[in-house]
Amino acid sequence: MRSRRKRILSFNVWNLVAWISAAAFAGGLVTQVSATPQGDQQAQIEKGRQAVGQACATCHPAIMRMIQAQKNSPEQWRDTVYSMIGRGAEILPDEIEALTAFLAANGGGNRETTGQTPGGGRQGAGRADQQTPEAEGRAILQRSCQQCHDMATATKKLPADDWNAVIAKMMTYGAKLTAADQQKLSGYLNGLAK
Amino acid sequence: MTTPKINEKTASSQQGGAATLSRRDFIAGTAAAGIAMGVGQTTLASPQVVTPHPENLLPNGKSEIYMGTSAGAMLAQLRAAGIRTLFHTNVSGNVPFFEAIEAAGDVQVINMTHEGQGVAAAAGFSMASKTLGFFFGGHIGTGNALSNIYCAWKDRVPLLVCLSGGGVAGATQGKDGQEEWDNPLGPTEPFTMWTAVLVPEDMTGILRRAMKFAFGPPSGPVTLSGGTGGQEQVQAPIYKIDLATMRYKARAQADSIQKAAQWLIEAENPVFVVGSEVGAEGASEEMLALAEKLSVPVTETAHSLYANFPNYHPLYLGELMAERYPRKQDLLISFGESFTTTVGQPLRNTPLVHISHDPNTMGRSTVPDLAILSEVRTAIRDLSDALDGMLTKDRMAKIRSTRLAEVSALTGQLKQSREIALRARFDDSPLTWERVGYELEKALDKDAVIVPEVGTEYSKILRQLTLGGPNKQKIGRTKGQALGWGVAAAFGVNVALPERQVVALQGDGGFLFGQSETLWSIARYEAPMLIVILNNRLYNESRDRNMQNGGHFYEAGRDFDGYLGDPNVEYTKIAEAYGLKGEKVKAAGDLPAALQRSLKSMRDGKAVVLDIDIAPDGPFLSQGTWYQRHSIAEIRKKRLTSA
Repeated sequence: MRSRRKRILSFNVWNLVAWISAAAFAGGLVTQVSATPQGDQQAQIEKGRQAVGQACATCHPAIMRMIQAQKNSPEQWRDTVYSMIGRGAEILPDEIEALTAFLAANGGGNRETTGQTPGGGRQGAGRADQQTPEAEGRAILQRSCQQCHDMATATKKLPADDWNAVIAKMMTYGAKLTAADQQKLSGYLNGLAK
Repeated sequence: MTTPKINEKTASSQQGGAATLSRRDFIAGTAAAGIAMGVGQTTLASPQVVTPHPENLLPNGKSEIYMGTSAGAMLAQLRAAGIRTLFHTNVSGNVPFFEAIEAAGDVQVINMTHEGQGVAAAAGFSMASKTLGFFFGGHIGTGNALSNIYCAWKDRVPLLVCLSGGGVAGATQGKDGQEEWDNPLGPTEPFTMWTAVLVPEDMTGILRRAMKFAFGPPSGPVTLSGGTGGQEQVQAPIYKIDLATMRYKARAQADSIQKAAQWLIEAENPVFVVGSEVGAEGASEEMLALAEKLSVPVTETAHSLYANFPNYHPLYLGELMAERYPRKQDLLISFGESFTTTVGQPLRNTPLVHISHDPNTMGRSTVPDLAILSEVRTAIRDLSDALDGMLTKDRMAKIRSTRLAEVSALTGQLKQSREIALRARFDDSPLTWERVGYELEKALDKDAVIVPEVGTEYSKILRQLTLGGPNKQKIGRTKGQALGWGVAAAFGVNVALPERQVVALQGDGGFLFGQSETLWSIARYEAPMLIVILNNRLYNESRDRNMQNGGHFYEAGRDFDGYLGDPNVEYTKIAEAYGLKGEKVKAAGDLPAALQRSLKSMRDGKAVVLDIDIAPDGPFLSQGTWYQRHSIAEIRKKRLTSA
């Protein structure tokens, strides 16, 4: 019988890897790879996403939260990748640029500012349809909730006040949401097909 | 993990009726007979004419009787156990002990100017010499000594710490007397193997027991009170103690070894976790041979004390937490890794075999599927022999070659990545940690000993060094992680290993935890060490942890206790104040020449403090120089007037 702590850790790490994948799919990160510069960039980001799951999440179960908390330039993210290699992260040579691309596309600096990547395209979860309230709410869900909870949690039918209570409770556990984020997230959760 | 497979080779050798019993066949035989290994060796081995070895002769049962002061008896007992180096911090009341030391003529007292540093030096001495360390000082310094007694306990270092005085069990109890509190050894109890009061009536008997409890296994510090000031005339037996033979050597049950071997054969993706007990026992060669036998990838936790496995070997993956190959490991075997720290615990639902000479570690932080209490070296040999008995050479070679190709491919790529990361910022100033490691590797002796006390950046330097096997060795960082250990521990290592280059890798923040005092001892005893201060003017590790998830202070660029750059300490001047050589390195290109000058000084017998400007880790942290300013000079109302 394994220890409960170990089971929890095991669950978190592997589900995190799975949810990095799920979040990326839901957010439209994974697109068809084309011969265009934008397609190449998307392919790099996708490769970086996989590398994060394999090389980073083993030590950083909350890796997506960490990435989004940092406001780095692409060059700073590349230095971070070098630094983590030095610390022992098992990053392969051909993953360095891919990881940098993924981090730059999903980092807080990118999210909080313009969403522009070095290539000029808009990257990151939910960027393409960010203008709609639904897309904004989904992006918040992916960013702030799915690091710890699976999608089934969000498909429960709850009255709006209950969702607000859940959101407030989650913020006491460390979820970082502005007042506007809370409103958008609540609206999105109430609008989900039950 | 299913039923054991038929042992082809053992079966054939048994049928053949071999006249001599090989170690391998013996193990298989005892396993079949269900006999414990340690017992079986005496009962099943072939009768042979045995030539007596001098070391196996029946000991002379007579004890020497010491007559003199009780403090003299204490010293005589220490000498009888081979202890000749005593670390010490000044205190009154030790005249009888010093008189005995002077009379003995073969005991060296190493003075340290602070009890905490003295204990760390004794611990470093013990870890390097693999003998019992000894420190003596006054009970009034107990508080000073505590953090490094704690570190010695975390590291399971065999250590006697004698803190004399303090009104032990005397008439002054409860009086709050001068320099007294009740139960003077009480503060040390949570992290000692035993505490005792040395009384004249049984001075040497208590000391013998203290050695037993300290040397173990399991080993660790023992604190003692009294003794060194004893002027009473006593007649005391002196116990001849060979520390190596006094320490019992547990050996595993044969069926446990058989089971572990069977699992190792059946597992497709086994991983070895090599822990500090391998280094403590000096079993690195056996460990390497076993890993190579089936090309099992090897990992360590972040808190391994020694270079237990060559870090340049293709099977060496690095840290357990970071392991990427194999993704779905199906067996972990821990060789003396306690898993007592959060970092490095196996995370997945993987069967675990925990081999240790310390019963206290097994099942403490993790629940092993198979716990094997054994001297690790013996367990490695037994496991190797069991594999020999269970696998044909062809099958072993097939497993070995397939797995080696996979692991080597990965470790080769990881080496390339480290090279890319090194070269990307190779000429940066302030320097990168990697560049410092690279230059140290080029400059130092092949068998230099590295004693690190740096944060999570340690890997950036250490992976640039060839550690383990016949190459450089590593002692530390202490698992206790209480800063203020490294320089003194490195000094203790140099006392134990005078023929080796000893290098303390020290963060600037750690150095400021009261370590400059050790420079006094380094100068006094002419220890030709290199003390590298990796100076980023920052408690980088704690800031990193505090800010990695963002938050208010990250956003505002504020850090209440992390920034060290104001005042900007001139460590070279601290070195020069103690009569040592100090050199500052600000630019990457200056480091090679500075190292050569340092080595020359060391060859000439003088230690060097090399203060190297290091870039803070992580660009998001690099600009943080804010601290909460408070100037008494500005707020005071009264200006002090000159005379």
